[in-house]
Amino acid sequence: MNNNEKQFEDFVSDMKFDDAPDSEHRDKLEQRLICAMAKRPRPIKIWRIIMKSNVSKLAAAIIIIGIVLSFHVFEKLSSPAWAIEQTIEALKDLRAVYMNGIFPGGTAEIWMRANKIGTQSGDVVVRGSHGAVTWIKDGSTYHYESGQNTVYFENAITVGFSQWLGPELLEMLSKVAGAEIMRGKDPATGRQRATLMCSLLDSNGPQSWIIEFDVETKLPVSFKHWSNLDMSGPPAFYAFKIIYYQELADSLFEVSIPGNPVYVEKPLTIPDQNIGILSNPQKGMSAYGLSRQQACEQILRALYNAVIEGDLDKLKNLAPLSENWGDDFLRDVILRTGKPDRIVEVVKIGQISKTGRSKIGPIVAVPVVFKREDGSMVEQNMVIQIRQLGGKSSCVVHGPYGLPREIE
Amino acid sequence: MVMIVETCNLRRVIRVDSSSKETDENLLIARARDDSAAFVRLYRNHYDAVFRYCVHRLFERHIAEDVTSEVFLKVVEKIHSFKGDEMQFRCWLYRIATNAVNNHLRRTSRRNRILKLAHEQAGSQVAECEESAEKLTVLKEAVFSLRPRYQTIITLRFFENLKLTEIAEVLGSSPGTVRSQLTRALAKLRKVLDTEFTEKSEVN
Repeated sequence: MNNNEKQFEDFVSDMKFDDAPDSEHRDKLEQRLICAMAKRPRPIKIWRIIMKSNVSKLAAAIIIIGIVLSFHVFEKLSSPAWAIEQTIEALKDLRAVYMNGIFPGGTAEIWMRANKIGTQSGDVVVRGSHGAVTWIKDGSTYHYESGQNTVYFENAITVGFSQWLGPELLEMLSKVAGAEIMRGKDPATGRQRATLMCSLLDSNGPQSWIIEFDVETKLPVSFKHWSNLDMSGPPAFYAFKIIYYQELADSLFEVSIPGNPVYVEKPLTIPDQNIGILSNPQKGMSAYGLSRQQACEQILRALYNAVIEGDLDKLKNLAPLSENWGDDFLRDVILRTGKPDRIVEVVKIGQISKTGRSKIGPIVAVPVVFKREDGSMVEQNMVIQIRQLGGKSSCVVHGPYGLPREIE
Repeated sequence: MVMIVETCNLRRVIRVDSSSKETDENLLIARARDDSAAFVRLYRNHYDAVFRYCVHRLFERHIAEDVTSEVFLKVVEKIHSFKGDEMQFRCWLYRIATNAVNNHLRRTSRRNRILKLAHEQAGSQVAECEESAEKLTVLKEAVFSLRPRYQTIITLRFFENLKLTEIAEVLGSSPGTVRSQLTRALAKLRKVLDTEFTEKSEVN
């Protein structure tokens, strides 16, 4: 270092710059960057073609769950990440959650409350950065598109979590066939993290999730969700901020739409990716000589009997999407063996409530009322695919239409 | 990621921050091309450095914030084409920031305006005390009297503590050239600073 250099260094060494970054600016810029990232042109993926409208994009983005960032040094676990019994008692009462995340085309804020018994989501409000709002009211789902001044609705709860974001979530999803759990340490906080990765084809089409759980609290701290099986491309939803509450104010779930929007009912559809499995003539049940209503009643009664009796082979035959989920997952999620919410009786199979059409024929939604072991009564809409294969009429169960609803 | 667990009266608040620095910066850079989450982490890792560099070049916080925003929006636009390691990424960021600062100065003619107003703005927005403010005013005048390239070299060398090889990487030049330009810049600075201090001591 020469003399000039030394002198200048001395001159500036005791100079006090007010150059501390402002966290408010940093956070605001971060939001701008997230939006800018989401708006960047990318190669067109199949799901982007399918998800053309904001309605389906946002709805799909929040239907279920997502992923985790695997930036830690992970090691595969040979034993469970934790025992549920060790869950901190206080955390079981967290019945409300706020999430902030990104979906293709923008960002979204989600407020959600668990249902009365804390098993799944109840009230949900999703506000997208482009002005769209999705909410649940009286068992129906509404989606407002401000640009179209239109509210799309369907008489089913099609947004939310079928398993509440509590400690049981990891237990449940870890049983999906092929699921992997890894453990790592957050280098910033030193907290232990468990990361779950799983994929399956369900009634919403192909799904993949990576969910990051905090090991101490057993709660998800971030997740990503893809509408494909290989986690390719940007996630359909990435919740990067999750805040848990004991309760949230009712006012957060009240949505008022300005002006006089047009109300349009969403048609009943099933994902094209599921058609292949539903086309297998070896699966399902003959509908020869039966009316559409009779065929639905027969197959649904047979399906629920299979669940009550624990007959997995029959279940997989009548509802073939479940075939690749893994027996452990089916026992845990569908059969609920030994759990108080196990289905014990089919009380009523209702009339066809909604019809639509897939590539292989008509589809119908039928409400089923069943009783659980704890005495509660639940209504679940199920979608049946009617088909003509080789000149023979048959039907097969596609899966649930929305989340189940407890009834009085 | 912040997870806050609230019980009655906020008895228990747990902070689980996953917005941490990537342990493997190179991996993070690679993922940031397509992954918004990785990009956000990368941004958080580098925001402070870019902002400070902009403050040290522009001497005004609010303008520095605007230019910092421009820098990272440019990074969003260009990151898919960036190929390099952690050190190259840092230099790349400084290069984008340098261009943004120089463009800003050119676009708004700030250089001239700042020179003109320098005397009136003795209490600079980035000075922390009166004594520092006075020195800062002198420094500001001196630095803005230099060519933008020399300003860049002075700032990177003395405020961001970059090595000559790193400055050369930022400027797309050789370390030898940077060394000789640094010498020339310092000689000019000394001249201006000597004059300034002589004038001020005569006034006092």
